[in-house]
Amino acid sequence: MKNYRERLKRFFAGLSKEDGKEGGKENGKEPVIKLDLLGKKKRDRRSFIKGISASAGIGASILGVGASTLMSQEEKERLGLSWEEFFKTNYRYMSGREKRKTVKRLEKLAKLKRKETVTISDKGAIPGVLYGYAFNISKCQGYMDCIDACLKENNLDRKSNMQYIKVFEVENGSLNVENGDPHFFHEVPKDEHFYMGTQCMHCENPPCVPVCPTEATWKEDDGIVVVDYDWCIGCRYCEAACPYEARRFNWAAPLVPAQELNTNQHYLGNRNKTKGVMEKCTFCIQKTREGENPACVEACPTGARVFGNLLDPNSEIRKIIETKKVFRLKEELGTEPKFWYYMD
Amino acid sequence: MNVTLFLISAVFLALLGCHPDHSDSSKEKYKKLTLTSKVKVAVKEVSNKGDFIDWHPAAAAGEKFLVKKVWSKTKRRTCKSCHRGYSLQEIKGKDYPRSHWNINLKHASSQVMNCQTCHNQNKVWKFNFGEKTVSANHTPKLCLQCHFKQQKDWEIGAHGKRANGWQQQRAVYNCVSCHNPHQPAFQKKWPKVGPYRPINNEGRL
Repeated sequence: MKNYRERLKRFFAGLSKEDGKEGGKENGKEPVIKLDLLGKKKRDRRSFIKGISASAGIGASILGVGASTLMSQEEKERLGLSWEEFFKTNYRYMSGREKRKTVKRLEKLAKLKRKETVTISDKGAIPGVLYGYAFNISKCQGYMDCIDACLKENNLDRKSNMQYIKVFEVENGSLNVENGDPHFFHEVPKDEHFYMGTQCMHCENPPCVPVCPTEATWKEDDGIVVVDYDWCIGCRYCEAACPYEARRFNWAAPLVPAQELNTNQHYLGNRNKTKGVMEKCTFCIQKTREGENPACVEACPTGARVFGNLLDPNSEIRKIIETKKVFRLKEELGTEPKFWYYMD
Repeated sequence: MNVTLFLISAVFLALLGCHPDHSDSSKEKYKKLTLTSKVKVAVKEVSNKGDFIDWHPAAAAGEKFLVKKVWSKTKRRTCKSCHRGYSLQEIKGKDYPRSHWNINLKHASSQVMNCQTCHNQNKVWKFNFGEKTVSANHTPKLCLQCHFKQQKDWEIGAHGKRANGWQQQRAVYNCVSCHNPHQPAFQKKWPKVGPYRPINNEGRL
């Protein structure tokens, strides 16, 4: 114990002295590292932060020097872009210029990192548009063409068999989806059963949004609830908060075959996701903001899915809501989902 | 006495103090969905108008819309262009190869409907519509003679399928784009993909 105390004393003495005879080799003792960090001078918060930023700058320059000597031009570019990417802000708070820059950077990174030639869009909401969806439960036959189209359009992970849409097989005589079976796999339609598809309902009061600790998820002006995959920390609070089980978690980095990759992408939609982030249905934001229908609507062979602008009184969806018998799932929760079920 | 007064005033104050807060937060939390807007979104014109025909629905269903044309398999053909030299009795008989063997008619009962209910006997590419004939592109006229219940739904968009994007002028598929006219009911088949079962690297979760 005494020995240890002496060694400690010696160490601090060595630190305080500039030339440090005790610390020198000529005394035949162990060399002591000179550090200014624990010196007499007390550091305040500001100078500490200054020091850190200076060291970060030095680090960056070292990286640059290292890159210039050891790495190829491509590798250097990739590192530089990754460095910029790391310090970007939340997409929601980006200016138009920042968004364009980010999207260009991601396109370049996709090429350098994964050898993918993709176009990433940053198109914003169209003013005067609020998207809505209607699902005909008397028409759906459970063929699952929608799910197949969805996973191809949105570059979903093939390894974990990720699907945004769940189709429940419910026995006739009950409208309770909790009695339904989402895991059916047999010839469809089964007698005396009907089919009910669920996905993200894009609620007007989305319960998944306020629980996010990093503001990585929010509702856009056109009503689409989106996720910034680079701000998501993967806490899965939103998954727990969603009453419709609409959110999916990437337990591993998504695996998409190169020949099946959809290169028409959106920053908030089907771009590359990493391990440990949430994702969900975005009404195929890359298609709908260009005036097209979502992939599930296009793929449905029975026409059970209808998509449109809720604010346009002449749209199909508005006419369905006004003239057909419609209901929404778990309406009593006050989430105001923009996903109506109707029947003939 | 003092204690009761204090209690009453405390309850009163508590009510005053707490109630407005609650109502405010609930108002903020649960916004009612309102479907009105001052901004009108411009409707885009359909670029490939040649692929569609105009359809004028009943007044209640709204403006006119487009219906997708279908390619008729019986294009510009008559019975005789294939069955040349045979009489109808001969074709029906057992000694000659059966014609249209691949068509299995399951549309209403055979007493109600047969080939000639829709197909014109003289011009096979035309379809009977009362005393007149119509082309394959106008088959909804034929179908809606019996399926008048579906007409209303189809014209407002609750039945059938949209053939273009939501922002464009409304264009829908023809009846026979989705339904096989010889067997209009959807058939049983296996689902295209398996059910959603999340799995991890070891193959389970």
